[in-house]
Amino acid sequence: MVTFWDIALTFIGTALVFTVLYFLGSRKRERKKEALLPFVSGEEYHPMRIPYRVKWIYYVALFSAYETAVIFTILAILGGYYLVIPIIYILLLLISLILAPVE
Amino acid sequence: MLMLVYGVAFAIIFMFLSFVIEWIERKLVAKVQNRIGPYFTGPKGLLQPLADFLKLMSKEEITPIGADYLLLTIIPILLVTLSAFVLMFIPIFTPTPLISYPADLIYIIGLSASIGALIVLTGYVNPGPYSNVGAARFGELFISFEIPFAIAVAVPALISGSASIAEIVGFQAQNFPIILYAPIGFLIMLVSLIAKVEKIPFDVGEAETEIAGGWQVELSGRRLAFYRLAMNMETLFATVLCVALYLGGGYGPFVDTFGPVMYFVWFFVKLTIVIFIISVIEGILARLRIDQVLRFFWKYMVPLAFLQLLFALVVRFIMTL
Repeated sequence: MVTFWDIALTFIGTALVFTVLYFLGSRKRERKKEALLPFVSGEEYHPMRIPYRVKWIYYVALFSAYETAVIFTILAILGGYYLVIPIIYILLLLISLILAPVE
Repeated sequence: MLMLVYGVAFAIIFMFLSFVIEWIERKLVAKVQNRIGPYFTGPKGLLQPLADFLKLMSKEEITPIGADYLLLTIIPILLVTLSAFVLMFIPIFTPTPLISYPADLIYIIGLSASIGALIVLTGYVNPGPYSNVGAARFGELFISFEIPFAIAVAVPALISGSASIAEIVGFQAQNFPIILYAPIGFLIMLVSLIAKVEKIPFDVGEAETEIAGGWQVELSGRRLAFYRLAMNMETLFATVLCVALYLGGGYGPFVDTFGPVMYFVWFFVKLTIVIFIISVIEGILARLRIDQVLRFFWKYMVPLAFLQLLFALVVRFIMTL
């Protein structure tokens, strides 16, 4: 049986390999002219974060609901409540999809 | 402490395996497009992905003004670590994976979703507009494909009655591969994994001709090397998950006679078939627009995935009678 510490140690071992590998990579500290510009491409624009509107924001809410529903469905099946609870969830989610606003 | 050693060993093995997968994919795409592909480095160009990685590792690292240096250092390491770590839950070399416990499938769905979230974060910690737009696009793509992907992953769990990957593979060894019970689920998973690893036609987050590489545009040197390695490992993860959940893992003829060697051979053959399908799609299709991608996933794939889920419930009900 795998314990929490087994999982943690495996993760640490994996992280160790890639951390060492990353810091073996070249950094080259000398500052070239390009390195002082805002973009790697060398374009001389000011650093900026563009304003934009996320049109599909309501899908984020649906996304969370669907992800949770999938997990609930699996747990419901494993708990022996198959058919009733999962079908209710799926029907609710299908209704929410149909009722979702259209752009 | 043994698990620490295993963690180190498997991380290195998976890194090299992801290079092999990249080589196969590049060769296949080149073949489809009537090109040669990697050729000079190593036998038939086998070492080209490794050479590309080493080249990028030795290049100068440039941090744009206004970018978060600490996050740009932590995220690539975390991204590659997570991509390698989720692979340890999948029985690739033997029928028993390195880490296995009940409900590990739910755990790796969560971990793989966090990989997508880290990619979105990468786009935002850089100040460039291309990078921001790329991150926003990938975010929109991410919430679109993740639902069908999660459902396609849940379907084998429903049919086999277990949320443990090793048990799902074991179920397929005793019965039929789950692709026969849920072929639509396999197709959904295949399409979703192409989007997950940002291959054509769903590479809207990178889109070189429109946004110059999107969330990757400000990355250079070892950071870019690590991001590319992470994408390779994610490709490996998505394809091996597909093989384990739908194609019966490494089970096939002569596995009982020859043991783990034959198991891995079968697994690799099935993996190559999945990569072949992805490569053909990548080689013959053009990139879709962002609105087309979103429409495709939300209007067609999500309802189809739910229908498959309902069908899987019926299959499960019949099997328990």
